Amino acid sequence: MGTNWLARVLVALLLVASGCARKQAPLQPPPPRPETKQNIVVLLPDPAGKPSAIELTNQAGTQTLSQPYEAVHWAGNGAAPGAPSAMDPSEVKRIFGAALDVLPQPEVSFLLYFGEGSEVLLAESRAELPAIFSAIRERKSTSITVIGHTDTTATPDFNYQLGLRRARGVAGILRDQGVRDSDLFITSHGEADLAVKTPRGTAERLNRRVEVIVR
Amino acid sequence: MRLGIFGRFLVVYFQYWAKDEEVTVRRTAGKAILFLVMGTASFVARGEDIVGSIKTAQGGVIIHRDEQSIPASEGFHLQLNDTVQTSADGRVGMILQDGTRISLGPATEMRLDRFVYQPADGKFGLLLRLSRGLLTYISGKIAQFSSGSVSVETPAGVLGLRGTHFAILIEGT
Repeated sequence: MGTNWLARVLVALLLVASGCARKQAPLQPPPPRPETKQNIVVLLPDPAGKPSAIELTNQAGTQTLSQPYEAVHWAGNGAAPGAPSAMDPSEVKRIFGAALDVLPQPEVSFLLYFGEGSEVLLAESRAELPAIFSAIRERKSTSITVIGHTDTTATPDFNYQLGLRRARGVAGILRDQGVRDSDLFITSHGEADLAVKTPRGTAERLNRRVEVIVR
Repeated sequence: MRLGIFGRFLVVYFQYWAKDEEVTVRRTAGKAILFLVMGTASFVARGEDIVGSIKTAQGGVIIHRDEQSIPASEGFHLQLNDTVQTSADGRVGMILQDGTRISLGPATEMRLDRFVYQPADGKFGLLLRLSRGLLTYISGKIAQFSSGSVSVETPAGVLGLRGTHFAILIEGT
């Protein structure tokens, strides 16, 4: 009986062991990627082709990236960043594509002009409105900034208010097109942000404007 | 979301009430107060509180704001101190009020830590805190007006940007 009991235990152990071994094989996740955990930063071409740079600093050192497609790899805060090296654009796409693909298109801005001291759009600017409406629709924009500006006739205080009235007027036109109030960001710069620098008391058509930025 | 002292008090009060499941009268009152609070919040949370909007949201994208976790959708308004988190199948594209464009890949977490865009006062600043994952960036007017006022902090190091377009992956700290 003693041996019988021992045999049963041994058989049971063998079964458990083999069971484990058999089960483990198919359950094992796909082999881990050979690369270890890493950090990478890559400088990408400036959309306008201007010079551009990034400085990476951590506890162990600093590296500067200054050429498009230069990349720095490093392991963590305690590890010094490696020297910049060129990264192939296809490699950039492989590693960063998931995020790069959903970068939004740039904001677009429109300028609308007004008569002297007037809150009424000039006819030529009224003709510009449909382009704004379609930009809002295309982008399904929920962020539209409307900034009122004036020239330097009248006082700065008056001009701030005039700029605000101009901006509110344009916002009203957008609202009539179905733009929600909560998506409109209305502000006035008065005469503080001249498109054309002029002395005080100068009527200047290009300064009497509302800027509409659609994001 | 800037609720003010009164709003915060109401939220706490509502939370206290909502826990008391037996007293239905109180729950009804709680709902009414929640409605009031949300009304107040949407009225107050305007202008400078909103720092950007979500343009593309795919898969799981959650916004962590104060104690709330809000599933993000396209058009969602982002506020300062929001943390944007994507799941393993998630990715998100957003545009900030200065035109800065940011996208996050899967399994990524980023907090909008600082956003200052006040051209009239000459004040500019942008700080993104990337805890982990994949971030790509194209600069906006903050960087244009004030080169050097944009940085990205990660557990593995800090990026100072004089750059307009870059991508970063943070896996190890």
